[in-house]
Amino acid sequence: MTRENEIIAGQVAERKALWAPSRRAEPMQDVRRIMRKKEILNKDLAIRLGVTEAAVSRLIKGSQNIQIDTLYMLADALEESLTINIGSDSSEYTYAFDDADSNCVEYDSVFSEEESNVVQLNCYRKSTAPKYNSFELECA
Amino acid sequence: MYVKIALIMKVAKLSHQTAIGLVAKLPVGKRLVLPSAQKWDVLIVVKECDPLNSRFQKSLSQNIDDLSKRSQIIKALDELYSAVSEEDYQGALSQSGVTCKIAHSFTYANGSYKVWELKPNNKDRIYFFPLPEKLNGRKAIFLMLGYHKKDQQTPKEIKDYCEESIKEILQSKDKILICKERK
Repeated sequence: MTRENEIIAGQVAERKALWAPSRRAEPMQDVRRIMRKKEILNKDLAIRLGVTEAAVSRLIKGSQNIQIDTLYMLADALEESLTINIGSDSSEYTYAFDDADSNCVEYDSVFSEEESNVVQLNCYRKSTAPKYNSFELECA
Repeated sequence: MYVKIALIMKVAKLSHQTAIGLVAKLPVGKRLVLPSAQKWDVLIVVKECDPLNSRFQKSLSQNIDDLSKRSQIIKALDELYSAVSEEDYQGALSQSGVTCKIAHSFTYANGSYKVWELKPNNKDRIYFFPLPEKLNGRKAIFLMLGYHKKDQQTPKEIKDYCEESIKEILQSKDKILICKERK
């Protein structure tokens, strides 16, 4: 078990180094999209969170390693739900965001053989992911 | 400048998953944007419909050679794919943690064209070109190069390569074959 833990520790560190910047940006992409959809400005969000507009601007850039409390506060300020999902039984999800026509912008997450580690601010549904690196030709 | 006359150009639609796969070399550890959600297609010029046999991939292999650079390029790709799920992808990018600006502009055949760069940090770059007209009824962005800058200015060889490639794309626009990812 000790040997296995060491191997996993190495993987955790490597994955953190590779994915941390994009993982931090991920929930903020949702926040910005919802803000645009609901026409919520930075100054509105600042008032709702009780912080400065500059702090909101920095926050939603998605570079900070924000706390879970802050994430929930953001969801509350946007009047949206928030789900944090670790270790789901399903290996594939599509994440969807309601737009004006209730057509969702879809997201797909493939964590085959990996545990899912997902933060989302809206609904999700199952889907089939495209196969990797398999191409066919179509005419323009 | 000498410009090759391309008869047929093959391009591959890059899904978010494939694009990340070209950089990451590790199983995807985050959420992905589905191709069906994209308002803009993300394309690369390829040989034989193989994204691994492309100038874009070669530029990643040559220039994005450590974990820190790869993580920044992945961040830039993530913001780009999130942005292209909206019509106004430039508007979406402008609010993101990645800077998007013009790296080079030139005139060609009575038109003015721009090479854009995504800047996740001070050094790492992705150069791209949004096609002015729709391709196969879809709006399209061509990924040109990944690069790790050593100087403040965009290097001349990058500008020249992008300019020449864009001219080839514009010349070939009626003869482009799209390699589509199987589902």
